[in-house]
Amino acid sequence: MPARLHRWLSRIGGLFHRRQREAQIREEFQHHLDSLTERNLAAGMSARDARNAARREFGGVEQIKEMAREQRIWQWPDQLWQDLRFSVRILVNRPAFTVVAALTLGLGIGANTAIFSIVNAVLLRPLPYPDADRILSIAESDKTNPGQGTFSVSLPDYEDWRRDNTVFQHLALTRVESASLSDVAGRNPEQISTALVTANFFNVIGLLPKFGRTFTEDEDKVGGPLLVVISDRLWQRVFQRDPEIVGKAITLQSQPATVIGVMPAEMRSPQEVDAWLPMMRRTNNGAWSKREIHPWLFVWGRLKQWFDLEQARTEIKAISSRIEREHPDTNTNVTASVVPLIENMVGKYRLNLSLLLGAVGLVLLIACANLANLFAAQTAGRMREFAIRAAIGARRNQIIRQLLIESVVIALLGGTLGFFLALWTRDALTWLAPQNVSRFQEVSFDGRVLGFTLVLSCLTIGLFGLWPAWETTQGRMQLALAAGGHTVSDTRSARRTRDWLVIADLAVTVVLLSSAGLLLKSFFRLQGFSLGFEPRQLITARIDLPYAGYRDYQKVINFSKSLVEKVSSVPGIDKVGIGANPPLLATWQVPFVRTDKPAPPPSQQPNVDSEVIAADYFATLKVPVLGGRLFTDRDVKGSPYVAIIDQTVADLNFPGEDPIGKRFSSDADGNVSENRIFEIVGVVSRMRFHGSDETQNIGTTFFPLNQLERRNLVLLVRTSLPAVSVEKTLAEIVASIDPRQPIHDFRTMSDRMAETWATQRLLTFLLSAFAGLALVLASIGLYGVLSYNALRRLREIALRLALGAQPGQIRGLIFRHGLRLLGIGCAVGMVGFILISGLLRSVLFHVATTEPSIYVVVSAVLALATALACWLPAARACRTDPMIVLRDT
Amino acid sequence: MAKDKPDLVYGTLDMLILKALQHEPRHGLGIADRIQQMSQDILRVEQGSLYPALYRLEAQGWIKADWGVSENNRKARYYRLTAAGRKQLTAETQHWARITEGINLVLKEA
Repeated sequence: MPARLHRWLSRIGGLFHRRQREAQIREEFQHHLDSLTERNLAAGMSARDARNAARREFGGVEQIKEMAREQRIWQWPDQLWQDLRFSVRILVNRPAFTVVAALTLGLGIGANTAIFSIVNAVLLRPLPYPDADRILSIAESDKTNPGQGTFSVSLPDYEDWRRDNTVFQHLALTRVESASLSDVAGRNPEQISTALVTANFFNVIGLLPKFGRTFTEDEDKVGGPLLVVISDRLWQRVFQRDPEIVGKAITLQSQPATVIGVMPAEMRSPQEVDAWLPMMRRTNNGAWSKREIHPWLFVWGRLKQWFDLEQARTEIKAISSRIEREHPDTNTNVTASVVPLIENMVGKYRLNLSLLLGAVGLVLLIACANLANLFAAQTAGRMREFAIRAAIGARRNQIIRQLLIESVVIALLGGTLGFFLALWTRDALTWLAPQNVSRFQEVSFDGRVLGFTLVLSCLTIGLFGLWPAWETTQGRMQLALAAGGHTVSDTRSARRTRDWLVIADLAVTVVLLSSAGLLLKSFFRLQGFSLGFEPRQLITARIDLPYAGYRDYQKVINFSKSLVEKVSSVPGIDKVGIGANPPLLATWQVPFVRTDKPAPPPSQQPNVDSEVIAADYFATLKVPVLGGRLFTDRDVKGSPYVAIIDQTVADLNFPGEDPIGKRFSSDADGNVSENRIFEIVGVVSRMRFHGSDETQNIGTTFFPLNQLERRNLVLLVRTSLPAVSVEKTLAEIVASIDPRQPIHDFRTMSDRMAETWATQRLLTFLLSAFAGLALVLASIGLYGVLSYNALRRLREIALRLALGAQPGQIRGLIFRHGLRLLGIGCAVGMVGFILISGLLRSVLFHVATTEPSIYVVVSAVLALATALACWLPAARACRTDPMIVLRDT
Repeated sequence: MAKDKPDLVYGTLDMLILKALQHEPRHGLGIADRIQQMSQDILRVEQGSLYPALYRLEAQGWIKADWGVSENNRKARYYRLTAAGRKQLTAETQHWARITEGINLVLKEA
């Protein structure tokens, strides 16, 4: 075995046989000493002289033992342990310092851990499907308008992709819907979310059912049986974990469906639905076979073994290009967008979460800068101790090592504190986060998060521990002893570094404060944004009438009439309206072609958002009517078809004209495959259906429920009654009209709106909290540096006072220093902020990144904080008694 | 007390210790005596250097120690060469010879 290795092993072994080796060394030396003594005795010295001479000849026993020990026993564990005990003792003796340091670090690390746990849960955690990175999501998009995002695909396009691709093992189609589930013993009818899927969807996901099976391609065709696969959640919640559920019939949309399987709990796609139904049975819908119709169909694919994302993308896009060439009237500029599934699900959060992570990282940097200054100040006061240690033989490395151990202890304390802080705030975070994203709700503190905390703690040690330790032991230690240990020359470089650390603090704080300010402004704009209707005291609910029970449309009309009558007669309910699109969600777009002008080709026809209404829709929403009339009971099927347009449609399609009385053609009536002609009878003010964020406002056209067939109704109720009682009343009314019909998705409009802001809210709140934290930390840092400088210059200040300087002049000294730091910090911060403000643009709402008010406010806030931070040291400096100080040193 | 001795001296002391143990096992004092005697009093080994060197050599596996009884009937720790130690001694002796030859050649040049 190589000698070096042998030596290392022997030394490590020495750790375990420590006592033996100590004894052995002691005995060996004793023997040597005794032999020397004997020799001296034999040479004629007295006993005492002999002994002393022997000792002198031997040399310093302890020191030699020390060196000998180093050879036999590995020193590090002992030294570390000693350093640790010493460090702990030092820290315990300075409780103020230790507490402040640990708290500062704890806050910094805690915030980082909290954010990272969210990032981990949402972005980093893999999907619970086998080989999930091979699952891709395909949608269509407009080549000329990429900012609009993606939209759903058309059935013929999907079929082409499926037939012609070579990269996908399975290519499946999905459509998210909802269905009423009734006739369950002991339960009211309720609405559940369902998905139509092609049989190979389950192959794409890769999960097998817990019990039973999924439907096959043979079963999934027009005229095939209504089979359903249910989710684990549904099985537990509604069917009480019935072990015999497979084979039973349940009533969906008033029709019997046979349960053939139950999926495991991990199966959540698409969009957390509770049941999967065969897709192809529904494709006898004439509209769906049109290439220009995109009926909320989305495509999921599983890549074959040897292919990757890029190849899939290229191929699908190529197929789309070919379709574009073959069908220019429907598919011009239509291309495909292929992304990994996880990207589809959480990609939109990536920017926000990155911003948060960046912000919280900056806060940690401030904390470390402060700690570095704190440590430096503290160790500078211990120069005497270091000098003495150096004098009795400590090497510089040993002193540095001991100081680093102190940093390690603080870091461990801070890290532990931070971890628990993050744990405690977890509930608050999940409450703030968007409710409908399950990955947000499953924030867990797993091994990765713990590892992150540890790594962060170690990094911070390097950041704040190393510099003070290195700088303070710079070889001036002998001088310290000579000068009495109190006043040590403060090197220029040390002072400059301290100043620059505070400047960095201030700059980062400026950046954070400005960002937070912008976000706050944006958030308030978002909330105050005029929606064109009055959302307060508005309650909404949805009723989806099943086709099976309401095939005859007269039944639908009767239902809605009866509903409106009964609800209006409830005391306390002011107005009732019925619509067909859930508010704040996307609507159905239809072409809008004026009949009095030549029609443009299909791909260039203007589109409008469509809505079908009944009862006092506009009055309920408090949307002003600008001209013409509203729908009446005479607007029924068989009478001339009418429509009401909003101001935007009027401006876009009838600029400068009066639209009332004019006609347009559209295929808004999904029931017939040709276009109908509608006459415009009224104009209303513009409403924002898509909520506050809109990329494209093409206006909305309204049609009467009595003329255009819709079975998915949205009930709008204006009332000042409490929501809970209204919910109960409405459920009773609906049950009295049709006992099998559930009413669902009951929410106040304000709640709906708050949900759309959920991510903004999270981001704004957190960023403001971090900015506040940064401000506090930076102020403390500034205060620390100023008082420390004042301390260092105590003699100088005392001298000045003794020579007749006014207290105001001393204050001025301190303030000037503070203001100089503030000025540079602000300047650097502003520049930094301007550089990164581009990142914020995409999360801001109608707020430019160059709002001057923000800068003014931020500067004012910072100036105030600085003034406070300067005031205390300045006041203290003025109160120095020159006599005491000068006598002391 | 200075730990940072030049490597030349380190190596040399190791070699002398190995040489002193070439023919019979000795204890620490005995090794110091032997070196002093062999060098005709020119070289005197300090205890401060001796024992660390002995422990280092022992850790490296070139000498081995056992407890025994010394000439004056005391318990003492005796060191002896191992087979590896013997090889190391030969190697170092050759190395030393070459070094000194080189140094002498340089010094002979005026």
